[in-house]
Amino acid sequence: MAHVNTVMGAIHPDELGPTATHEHIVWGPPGWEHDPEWWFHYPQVFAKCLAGLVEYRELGGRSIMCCSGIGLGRDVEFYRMLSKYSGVNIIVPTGFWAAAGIPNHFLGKSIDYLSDMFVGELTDGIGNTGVRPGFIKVGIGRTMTPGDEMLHRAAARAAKRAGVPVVSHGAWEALKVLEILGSEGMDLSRVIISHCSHGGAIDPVRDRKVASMGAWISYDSFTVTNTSAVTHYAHPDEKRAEAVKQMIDAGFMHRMLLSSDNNLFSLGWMRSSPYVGKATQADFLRSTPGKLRRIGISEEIFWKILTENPKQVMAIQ
Amino acid sequence: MSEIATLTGMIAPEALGIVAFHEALLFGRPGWQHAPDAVFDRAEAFERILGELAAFRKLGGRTIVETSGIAMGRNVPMYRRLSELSGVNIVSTTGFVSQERSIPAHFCLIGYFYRGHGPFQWKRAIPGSPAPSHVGTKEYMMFLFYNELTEGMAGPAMIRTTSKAALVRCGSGDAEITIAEQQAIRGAAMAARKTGVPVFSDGVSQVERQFELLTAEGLPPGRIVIGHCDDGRAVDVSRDMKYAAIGAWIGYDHIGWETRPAPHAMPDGQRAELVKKMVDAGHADRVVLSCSAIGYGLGMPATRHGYSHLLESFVPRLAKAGVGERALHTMLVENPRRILTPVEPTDKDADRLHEFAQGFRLPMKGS
Repeated sequence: MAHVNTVMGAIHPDELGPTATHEHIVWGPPGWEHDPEWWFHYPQVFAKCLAGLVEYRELGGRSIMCCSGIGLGRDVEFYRMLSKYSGVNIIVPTGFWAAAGIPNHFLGKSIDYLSDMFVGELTDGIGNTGVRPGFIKVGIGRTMTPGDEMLHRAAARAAKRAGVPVVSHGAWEALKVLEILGSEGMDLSRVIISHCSHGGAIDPVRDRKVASMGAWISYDSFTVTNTSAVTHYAHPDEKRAEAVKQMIDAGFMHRMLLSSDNNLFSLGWMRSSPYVGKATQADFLRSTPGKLRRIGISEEIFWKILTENPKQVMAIQ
Repeated sequence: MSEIATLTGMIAPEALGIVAFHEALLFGRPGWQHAPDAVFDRAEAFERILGELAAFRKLGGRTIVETSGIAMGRNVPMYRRLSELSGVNIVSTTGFVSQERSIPAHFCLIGYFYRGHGPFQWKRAIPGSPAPSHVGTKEYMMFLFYNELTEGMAGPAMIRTTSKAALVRCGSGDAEITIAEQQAIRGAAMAARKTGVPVFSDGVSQVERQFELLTAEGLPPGRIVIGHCDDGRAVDVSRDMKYAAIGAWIGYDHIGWETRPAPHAMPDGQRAELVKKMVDAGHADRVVLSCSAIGYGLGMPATRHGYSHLLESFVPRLAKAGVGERALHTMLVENPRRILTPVEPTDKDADRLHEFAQGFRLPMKGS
């Protein structure tokens, strides 16, 4: 039976509703808990995340894919509480951020060890929580290092065995990513190439190529426009809207995902509130339709992309 | 300021007794808790370590220096209880070992994600430094260690305990010293100078460069313990004598690691020869001994030998090889005491620094 794994259990793909496909409830490189400078007050953080999700739901969102993988703040007990009290479906991944973010314990492990580990989480649940991830998230650094390639191969093997999609944080090496995943025999229609709208990563030619190979293009940094913030990938949303328009005009509306890559709370770094007044997923729903409407994309299309596309790519058969 | 911080409080140097200078209680690489094959049965771990400590004490041992550092499974509240119950003093450590084994990604990447922003940039800049913020610098590491040495070590679940660390650990991989390791090594030396505690370094194949970095920060050789000098891959008694002659301390601290697949394994007989050579050359007053025993492995096996291996097996072996009672007493009791007793801080700005460090413990802004 087709389904999608959320932290509260499996749901039918048609229950997903409007879904922001690349977000983070919390995200931080592993190890922040050892650094007292970045400790926080857990109840306040819970309240903040809950408020963010409730607002997201009030504005029409129904599901969120939190792309924080193993050791990156993925705390399923915390997420279950948030999902229960906000009514937003939260989907978490298995997998590591990139070679640079693999926790020390896993350095030097083989591709088979990693893929077995991913499959273990996907079939038996995370730790002893029984919560199953809904997809695999891996990524690269500035370039595709040998460690990143290993991660992608492990992800492809695990995805094939468990029938889940792979999200790759790797727009700037998209074709390399597809080549590696494809060489492991992965069905490219289960691959999402993330961060195609990051500052410095916009490339319509690549996007059309990727989409015509059957993979998904993810424009997922809407609202990240504040250049005084610490992000290297901030730039005006108008550039992102333009990329969306070009893809729609080229007939690839059904290969595209939209999101904003916001953290409701950052672990061990400063990109999000409460430290600085950063945008949230609710701001994404608030501001993006207007940006698109100005260049002739109706709000109806925005919601259609948010609703129809995620359920196609996320459904586990 | 001549008392030594243990987990149960400050004690007089004379109370240390026989010391095992480099051991681990819980031990695992950061991230072990995510491994499907790692099992942590806390009650079992407690009982097992308690048994090991009791055996060590029964043979006359009084103090264990727990040198796992910040991120390798250290659990201060648990260790403190073990110390109270077993009657063995536990001296604990701040700092990191090599990047691969012990520095989590957070400390390597923080400078990449956060380069200073708004008011925080100014609050957190180092006075006199052109950098907009202190993150990703040796000063950042220094504050991390300094606060653990003066305020108390970080415990699990975002708690700062009241137990202070008594030495700083630093280290590096075998092939090179990475940027994060370099910051940690320099930061260790800076924190040690400002508090008077010693530094324990390992990664003996890079010892020359590490020693350079530590002394470049103004740390005198007498405050540096060069650990792992009995690493089977890098044994060199002339190197050990060279460093002993300039006043550094030599750690033969993998006693009992005799069999593969441990890459640093070596028969204890060869270790005894090393110690004998050092004693015969008149360097008994520069050597410390220990077993690097692991009480309970987190995602890795514990060692077959325990803390008692030192007194049960290795010390008799040394005696048989002709190392005298007096030299043994020097290596097991006097040397650790001299190393661990804090000296006067050599950094004159220590007081100002303390004030400045307060600024780094910012209250959380309301959300």
